[in-house]
Amino acid sequence: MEQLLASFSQLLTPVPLFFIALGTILGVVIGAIPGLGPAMLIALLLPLTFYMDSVNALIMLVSIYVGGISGGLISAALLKMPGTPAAIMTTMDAYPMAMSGQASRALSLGVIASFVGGMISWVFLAALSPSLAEFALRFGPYEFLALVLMALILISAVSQGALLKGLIGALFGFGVAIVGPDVASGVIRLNFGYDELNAGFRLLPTLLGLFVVSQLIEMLVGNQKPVQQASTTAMDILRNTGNMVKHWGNVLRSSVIGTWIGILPGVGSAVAAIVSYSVTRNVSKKKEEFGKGSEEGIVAAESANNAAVNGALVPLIALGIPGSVVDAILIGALIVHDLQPGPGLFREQPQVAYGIIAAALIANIIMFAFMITCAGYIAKVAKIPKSLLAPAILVFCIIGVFTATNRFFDVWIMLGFGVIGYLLRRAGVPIGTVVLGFILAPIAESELRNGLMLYNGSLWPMVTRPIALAFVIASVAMLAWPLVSKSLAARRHAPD
Amino acid sequence: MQNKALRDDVLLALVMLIISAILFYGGWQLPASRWEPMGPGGMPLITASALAGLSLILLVQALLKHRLAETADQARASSLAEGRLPKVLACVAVSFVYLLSLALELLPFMVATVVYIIAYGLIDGGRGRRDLMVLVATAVALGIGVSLILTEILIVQLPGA
Repeated sequence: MEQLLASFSQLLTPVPLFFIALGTILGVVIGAIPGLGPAMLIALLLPLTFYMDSVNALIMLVSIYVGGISGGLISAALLKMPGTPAAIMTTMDAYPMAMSGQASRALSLGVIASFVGGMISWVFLAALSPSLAEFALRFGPYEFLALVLMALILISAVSQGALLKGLIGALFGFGVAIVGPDVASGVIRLNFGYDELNAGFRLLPTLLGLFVVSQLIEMLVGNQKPVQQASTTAMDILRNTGNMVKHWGNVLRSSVIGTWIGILPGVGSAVAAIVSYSVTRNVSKKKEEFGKGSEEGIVAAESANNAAVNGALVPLIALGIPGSVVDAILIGALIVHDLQPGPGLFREQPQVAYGIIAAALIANIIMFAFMITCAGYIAKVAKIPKSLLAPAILVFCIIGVFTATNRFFDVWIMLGFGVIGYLLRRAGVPIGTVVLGFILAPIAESELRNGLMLYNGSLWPMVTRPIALAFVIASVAMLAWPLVSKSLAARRHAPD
Repeated sequence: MQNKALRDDVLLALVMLIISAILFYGGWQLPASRWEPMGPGGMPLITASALAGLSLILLVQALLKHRLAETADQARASSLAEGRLPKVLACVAVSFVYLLSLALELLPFMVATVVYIIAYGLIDGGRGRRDLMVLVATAVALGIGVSLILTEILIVQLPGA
């Protein structure tokens, strides 16, 4: 508690506060632009943080995450285009409500729900992270290995229903990460004679290529349909805040759902919003309103997706396992700043760990104030033509990759992965699993090899040690669930 | 739509099988370790085997027209919209020329970037007076403004001549 308070007093000074505000505002604005999103912005700004103090860099990036997930609400409500995947469920009710002349009511509900969801989940973040980190110090190599495998299976299982392709994507990410020097022996692997690959595929070009450039390609080839836009003002939004009072039960339930789904490694805000929306619809007395402008639907989706942000930070800080794809990029940020993600972070770099926790709360407050006052203006930003956005983003990508290593080879690598990423998405492979596989492969390999050395080549401890066994059982259950549910459904529909 | 999805699945499975063969070959070549049970070749071999296995399952599912292999349409990246091929090709060509001019150091970063953004915007954007003014302002801000900040203030080297 003392360290958390110390972090607050450190962050509530001009320079850190500036970075939190900057990150939050940038996150909201970029989150509101369909096709961009916090992951892209964090990846793009990562090279610029090389020149910053580690704590300031990380609090800015975390603030982008908080702002970005919330920003998706604006274009979802006013343009029928979710700014982020987390806002897909919000679109279903916020846009119909906005088009019926109640844009301010939609935004008001969404912004307040986002804020309260973020505040409730922050309590879990502050309370659970240090304890979980303490508990995780008991983890051995096989516990971490089992956790990594569970994270990969989990994200594959929830990725648009394509478990098999999600796992293929994750293994492809593994394959990409393997190229380069073996950490234990220094042997160069899979460079096929190219000296430029002796260091492997670097984090930044791979990340920017898979995430950003592939999206630029999609922007280029996809349809650019004009959309009828709703509009609103800050005063209208503020006048509608009273609508929120009757939804306190929904907010509470959705925030808790969002927090716990966010904590599950590899899942994230989009799934949290979907689950919370479905649960709320099932228990609602006005089911017929869902999809047509239901207040409950907006509140459920927005509380949950914002709650999942802080929930996802729990395994990131405590275990060094990303709670979502954006967290995978944040792990990259920690590595780039020479910080070791994992339970040791609280011991060795408490100012970073508690700084992230404190920044998440401050960013949530700034997000609320900014969105209430500027939502109407931000919607205009969302209409920036793709013909301006795409080349500008590509230029930033080139700058970011080149300045990191001064090698134009890495720019070509980025483009190559951009094309690969686009083709993988065309084939239905979720890119998030590829990125997670790439980030988690070194951890998985290192823990597997440590475990084999520790237990004289035996894998049995993965099922004899209780915590590892629990993760293994969860993984097997997630793998088996699609088959089980399919056969149950077939039996239900079978003719008598 | 289903035939196209199944064709994409077959293609994906075949490509992944090739990649797993490459990984397997690369891993097989690596020396075993004298000090630990699993040497540097272990992870490539494990990854290759798992990837090959899953790709075979995908291939079999696709060939048998099994629905489990499909993904919801909205999860896939957009395919080429109608009528966009000439613009797409032109934008790709312009982007490639921009990259080559930086890689081969034919033009300074500032100049190359301004020209690129204007060219891209003219191909894919609106041609009205306001659109052109915004385009030129953006090109100048990015090409000149950003490169001056990076080179003069942050002392960072940029690609190009």
